Amino acid sequence: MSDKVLEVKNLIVHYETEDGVAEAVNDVSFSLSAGETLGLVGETGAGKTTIALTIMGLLPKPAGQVISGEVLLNGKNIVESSRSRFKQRANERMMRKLRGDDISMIFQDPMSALNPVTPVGEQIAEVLRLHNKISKAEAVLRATEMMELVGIPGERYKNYPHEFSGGMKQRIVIAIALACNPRVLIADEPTTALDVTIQAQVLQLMNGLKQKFNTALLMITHDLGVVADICDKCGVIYAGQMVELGSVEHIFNNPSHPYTKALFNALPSLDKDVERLESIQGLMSDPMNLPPDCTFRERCAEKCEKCVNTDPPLFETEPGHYVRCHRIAPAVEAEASNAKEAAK
Amino acid sequence: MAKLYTPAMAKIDKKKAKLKGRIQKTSPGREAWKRLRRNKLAIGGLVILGILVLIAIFANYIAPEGIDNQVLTRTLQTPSTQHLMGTDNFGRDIFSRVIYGTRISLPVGFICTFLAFAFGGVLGSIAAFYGGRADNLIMRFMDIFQSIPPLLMAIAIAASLGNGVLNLVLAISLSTTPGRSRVIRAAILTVKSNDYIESARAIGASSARQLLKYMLPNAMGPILTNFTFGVAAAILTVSSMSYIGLGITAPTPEWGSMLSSSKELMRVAPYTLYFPGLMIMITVLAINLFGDGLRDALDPRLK
Amino acid sequence: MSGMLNVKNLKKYFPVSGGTLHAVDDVSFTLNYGETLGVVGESGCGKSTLGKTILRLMAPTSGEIVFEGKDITFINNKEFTALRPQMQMIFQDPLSSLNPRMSVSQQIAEPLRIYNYYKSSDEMEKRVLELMDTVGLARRYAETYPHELDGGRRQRIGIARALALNPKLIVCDEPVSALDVLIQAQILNLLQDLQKERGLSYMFITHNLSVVKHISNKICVMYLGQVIEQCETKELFKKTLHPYTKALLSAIPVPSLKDRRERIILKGELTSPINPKNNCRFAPRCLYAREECFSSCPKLQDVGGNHQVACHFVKEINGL
Repeated sequence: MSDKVLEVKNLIVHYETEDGVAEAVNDVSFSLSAGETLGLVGETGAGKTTIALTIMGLLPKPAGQVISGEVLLNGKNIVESSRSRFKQRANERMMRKLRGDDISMIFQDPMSALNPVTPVGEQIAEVLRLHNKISKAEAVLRATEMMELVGIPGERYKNYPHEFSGGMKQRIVIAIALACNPRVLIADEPTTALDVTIQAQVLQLMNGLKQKFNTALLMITHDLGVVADICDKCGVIYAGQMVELGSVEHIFNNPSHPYTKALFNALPSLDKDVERLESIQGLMSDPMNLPPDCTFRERCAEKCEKCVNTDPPLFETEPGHYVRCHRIAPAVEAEASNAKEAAK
Repeated sequence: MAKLYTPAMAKIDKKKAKLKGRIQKTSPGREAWKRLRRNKLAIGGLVILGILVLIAIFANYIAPEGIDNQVLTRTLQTPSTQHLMGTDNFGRDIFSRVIYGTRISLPVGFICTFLAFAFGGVLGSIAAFYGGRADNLIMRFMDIFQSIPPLLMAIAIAASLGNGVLNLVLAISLSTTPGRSRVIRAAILTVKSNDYIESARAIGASSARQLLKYMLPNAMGPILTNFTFGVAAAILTVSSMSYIGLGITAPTPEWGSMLSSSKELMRVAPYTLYFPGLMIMITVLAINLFGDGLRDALDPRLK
Repeated sequence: MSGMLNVKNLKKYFPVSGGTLHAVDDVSFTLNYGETLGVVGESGCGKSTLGKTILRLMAPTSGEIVFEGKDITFINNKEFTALRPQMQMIFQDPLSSLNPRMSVSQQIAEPLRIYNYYKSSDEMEKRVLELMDTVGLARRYAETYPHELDGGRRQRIGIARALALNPKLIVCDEPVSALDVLIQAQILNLLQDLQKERGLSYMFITHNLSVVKHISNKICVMYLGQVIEQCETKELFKKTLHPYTKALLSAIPVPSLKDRRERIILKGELTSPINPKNNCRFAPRCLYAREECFSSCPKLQDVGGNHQVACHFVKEINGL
């Protein structure tokens, strides 16, 4: 399909360390079209950031290793699952060209993402000059434009990062990320370090720019509120697996996986008064030691015998809404057979 | 989906099977040791240090001759199977003297550094902990001392105290104290801003408890590393002092003084210089390698 | 009525290069037994400084802190040490607030050791294990170190430590903001259970309005060192009066697709209150700011129902 800008297919990523192998990402698939926003939600250590780093080709080496799967950027595979050093290097060379040009990333901490000894304007101009054959003067001009676009007056071109507040720095990081008009933008918790009122500003800005540039946005967050705000699709990640994937309407109006339901129930609400929050006990399975069962079984309120020793596949419960749960299966099968009969 | 099994996992499973039955308890010390063991250079340094210590302990068994066995019929012989490192201008076996030299150089190096850290530690921690006026007073005082190069100062102190191992140790420790106090002050200042110090205050920990149970153990990383580098520097200082005749006096074999006494022979018998010099180099290298590794091992973030 | 903790006109100023930072400026409130006071605001609004000043981790500049009828504002350290067991604190980042070189049992025993509560080590151990049960930490973790545990368990250590001396007041400084939602819910439930069991009073400092709504009886909203709105929790969410509180409330991303509220996007960012002029500190970002707001600082005034707001035009804005 040509309109898919980014496609992740059956991605499996491991971290191989002295203490063991961490199965960080297990068979994750999703796709993004131009102008679309996908939110990836999950708790710390679920593998959200690993997915982002894999797409960017920034997995920490040598521990991080793509075991199998593909990441297609405009239909072209950009991850190398071979261990051959030669192929890895070739991949790295290719990624260096793509990063910042076709695909960029915004990190959580704007402070550490900027070079403290270079004026911010020059940092934007540098990215422009790196990927485009333009003169210095033109780069300066376009960098100033970018700054104005993210709401920073152009005359602050020569200011250093420390002269800006947290929210302003994140705007500059966004300007750098969008400078070359990338097809895909990955944002890893871009507003987590910011205050709520500033977060609202930055989210509004990102939403506007995304529409303007028609960029596909992969938004990694732990905040379901942010997802509701800015995303079109939402994927819930648990222990390296996509446990639920669908449009935001699917996820918010009809959460189907027990984990997604638990996430919603655990949030203190501004509208309703609850005496006590519903919380599930236990912790996410250690990625170093994943059980052969459904990874959520131990904490699941709806577990059944089927969940032992078999990991459920993703079922499509309604068009575009996928759930990884055995409980869903009978309903899905029944529906499928109904549809078949109807067709007869 | 079937669970994946990669070659890397198989390798680790094998390792796990090997370790089975052993108690797997991790403490910061054990973790540090585990990280240190992974660092081959540091282990190399540690092994060399161990050998040197053994040499010092068993010097009288290893050395074929005494330290002052002057045989004037065999002066300035080149290294041979009989005299592994040759003989000096008094006909003494250099190999034996180098072996015995370990007994002086190693302990003197360690004791000097230990004393410097003890003095500097008290001053530095007081300065860092109380800050403000105490900090200013102590550190300005240290600044004044630091404005004199440590070697010059050591020479001055040693010259006024007179010769002798004890005076030498004192001179070197005192002259390096200001530098050490700075290191310890800096190390404590870094951990002082941690939340756990505040949480210790919130449960009512006294100043001494905050310093001894919270700050010092956590500041130990940089301090320990600096200590190993200090030992290397102290051995070199002892050697330099002996070289100019203010250190250990003849005939006591000490690597620096051996170097110094053979400086006139540089042209005639260069090997009289090579071996003590080589020993200093090896020791300093070993300590530095070990110190480097220790610094990395003690930083849990480098896991 | 005089509560357990009365704070009156508390000020904490810091000398900084270029002037004085008014971190806490003229803050007053009362906290009753068994109640939770939520202190909300964005980073830099002085909420943490307020908590630390009350626990005397920082010396107050002026004002009055009365704990159980005793003025503790300027008492000396010795006297305060005797009171400290009754006032404890839970910190934001459970990892950095625990000494990395102490095992879990040592961490929890530390306050007991400092105050010499138990003579024999057997009694001490028993108490430590009891505390671990109370906060829901499995006993098998007694000999592990904080870095081996997850955020939720680490925060449980922090809570056990704070509980060890049987306090009456616990200042919770962003205790759940470093935790994932599911763990956050567990810890909030634990804190509520402990409050019911032991009649604890909490001062709950956070930037998260939904959390503070869930857990507190009263709320103080702070902006640049000052309290700008203060009332019962229900009242605040029913009748939000101050323009800043309104903006703060509307800025929270709501995890729901229904009833999307109208966003109020504030201009600019928080500055820091260094040598503040005599104006409303929110005026530069306020949608309703007028001349008067830039020339005089509004005082907290009661608008009925124990609802206090610091805004010159509160009546006009809200049509009261």
